[in-house]
Amino acid sequence: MLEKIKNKLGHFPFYVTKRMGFSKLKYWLIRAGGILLAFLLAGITCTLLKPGSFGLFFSEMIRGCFDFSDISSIIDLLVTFSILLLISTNLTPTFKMRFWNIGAEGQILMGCMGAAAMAKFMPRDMSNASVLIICLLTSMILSTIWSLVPAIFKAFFNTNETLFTLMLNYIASILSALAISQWIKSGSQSFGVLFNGVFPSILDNTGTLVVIISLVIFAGLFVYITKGKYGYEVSVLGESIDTARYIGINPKKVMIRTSLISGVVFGVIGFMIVCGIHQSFSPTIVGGQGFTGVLIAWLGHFNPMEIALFSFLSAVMQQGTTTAASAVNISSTQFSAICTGVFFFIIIACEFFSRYQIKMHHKEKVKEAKEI
Amino acid sequence: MKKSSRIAFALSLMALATGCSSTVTAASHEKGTPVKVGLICLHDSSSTYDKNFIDSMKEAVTTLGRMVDGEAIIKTGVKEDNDAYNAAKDLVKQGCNVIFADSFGHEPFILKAAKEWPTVTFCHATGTQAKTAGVANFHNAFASIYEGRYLAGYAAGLKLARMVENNELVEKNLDKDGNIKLGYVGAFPYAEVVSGYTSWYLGVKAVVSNVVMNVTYTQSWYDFNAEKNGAHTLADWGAAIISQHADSMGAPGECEALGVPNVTYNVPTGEECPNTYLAYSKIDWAPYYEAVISAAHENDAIVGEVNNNFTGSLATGSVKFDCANEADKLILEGVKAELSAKTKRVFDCSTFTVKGKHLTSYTADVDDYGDFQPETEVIRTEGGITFFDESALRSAPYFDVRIDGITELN
Repeated sequence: MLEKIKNKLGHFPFYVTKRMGFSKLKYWLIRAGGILLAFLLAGITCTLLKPGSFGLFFSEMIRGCFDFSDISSIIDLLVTFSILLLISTNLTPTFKMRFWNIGAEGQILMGCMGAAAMAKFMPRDMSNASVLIICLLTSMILSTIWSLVPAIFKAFFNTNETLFTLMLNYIASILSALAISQWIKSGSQSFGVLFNGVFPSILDNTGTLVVIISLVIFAGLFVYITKGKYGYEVSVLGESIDTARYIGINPKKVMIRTSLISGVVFGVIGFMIVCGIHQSFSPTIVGGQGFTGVLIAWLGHFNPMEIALFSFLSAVMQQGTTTAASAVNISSTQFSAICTGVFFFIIIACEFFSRYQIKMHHKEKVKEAKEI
Repeated sequence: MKKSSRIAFALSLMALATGCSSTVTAASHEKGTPVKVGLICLHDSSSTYDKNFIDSMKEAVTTLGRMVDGEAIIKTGVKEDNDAYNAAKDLVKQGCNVIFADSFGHEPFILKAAKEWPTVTFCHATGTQAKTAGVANFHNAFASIYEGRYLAGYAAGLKLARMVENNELVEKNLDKDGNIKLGYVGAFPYAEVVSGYTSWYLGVKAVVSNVVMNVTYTQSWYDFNAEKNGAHTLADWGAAIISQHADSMGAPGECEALGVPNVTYNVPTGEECPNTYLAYSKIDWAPYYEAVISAAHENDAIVGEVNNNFTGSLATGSVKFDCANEADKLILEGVKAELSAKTKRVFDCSTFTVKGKHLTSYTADVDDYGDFQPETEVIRTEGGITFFDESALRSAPYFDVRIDGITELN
């Protein structure tokens, strides 16, 4: 249909132009509207599946996230939030220098695999603390390899880092599946629960330490990005390689150093996911958070505070819809994933329509075309 | 429901105001009050295996009526990793007193949850650790489904005998020694599947003695394409009849397309595959659910349980089978009666050989200490029959013997 109109007119009936003079207030109002709409749509979807559950959906959603009598669910929320926050913030420096690393998922997964291997195969009589240290070191090394290799190729051979990091995700995923099939003798492909290499419980939850570590590293990254020489070098490199060279920055060095730091942090994240959150391992353990992190970093315009906002909203959406779904007895665990997907879809749409606008070509010509 | 959640929310605000805190606490059950039930499933109803659990649960809840508090909360698509623990935690938060989980790989995570909430009863189907874990509120259950599979195999044998009589077999259905080829699509190469295909094979063999079988594994409980391709490979090889132990409609659908008679598991496929459906067997979980829920209702021990293991049987109504051919049903009822009376045993050592010899002794890994070391003698002689005593010492199958006549392809 569109092709037909195009042939008749010589062009599509509409075109996209950049929007000019859009106030910051208006931009944020639209974003807020989009966020509200996403939550509303989740409620409507729930009501369509289970009639009459609209009010219950929201009260359960709030209970699932902000029930302060249940400290454990608050910590769970903070765990999801802080991991997302850390992943997105950690991607920011690489993105700022226009190194499009979309391999966070695989880089974290390699860290997870390293930690899991050590926690499983270190002798059982070894102290938990020493196993934890070995796990941490192994996961940092593996994640760093996964993050450095594409950076080295980009720096020396100008390889396309987007494809490279994307492909490494699949390799990491297949390697973990292979590892599990070798490690698990029962043939069930299920890793089971870790005996050793488990985070100590604070407030009856092993996740508390994950939150603390994440926030400390986040603070470090925040300083690294916004203040100091390194952050500046990264931004200049992102603007123009020639400018960077001109003022005496070595692009290769900066690229490799930035990827090295990001790899180390991804290693820590992988370590925390295995030893702190799951105490287990599977090829899908990262659960797409690496990709969500890319999305959040971009939606947050690489600004740590905006990133924090979207990480928090995403965590609320995930945990709230999970609790609400079981309260109204929606069986599928996919319900929460769908709601989160819709949430991001709407925010991206808001982003698009705030930056661009769709304009129609001359109206009569379109009318003519419709008569075809 | 609405009101209670509002009250809970109000209470939480009060707690915030007073600054008190606690972790997730499980509701302990008061004798005689309705039981809240939760069910954790690996897939949703599109998997024949999970559909069987879900349907049985609905049936049990209806049967028990007022003993159960509302509908059971069913969670589907719960992976065999920490998701299973999170699902259990969520069900505890929703106030469930009894929580079931349906997949083998869920076990370590459900066990972890059971240790954390000792007032909640956790029941895990197909698992192996309840006997050795020593956690009072953690239970395993299974059924002597090998008897059902044997009967379904027997039905296939009767069909095969007719095919021989009517000269329906072609050259590729026979191997070089003149044995008739059978095919089996299995999920994973562990005891649950090995026990299943061996009992099916022995069922066919009880009617037609010259049969050989190829088994192909998909390495997944639900992989439509892998199951379809598996059935296709076996049909190409010349399998005269195919059965499967994997949960999609892949294999039955392919058999219908290729015109190869098929024996199914969990659900009869007479409607979807009218030309090739022969027989099916399944575990009916409703009797077990009813035993557990009524025990929880009365704060009593679960009837029929030994060492936290429940093995359903033909007698408890936990093993069901049926076949398409009306005339065969009578014959099968006779075989079933013999199995129930224990005058016939599925794994009768005189009916099969291992490397050319009849088994006289075999140690199996019955007690799961995570060591994969066999420790228990499982060959017994009773009523003049020497047999492999499957599912008697724990609920989950432990028959992992590779017998002559069956070849694993991968």
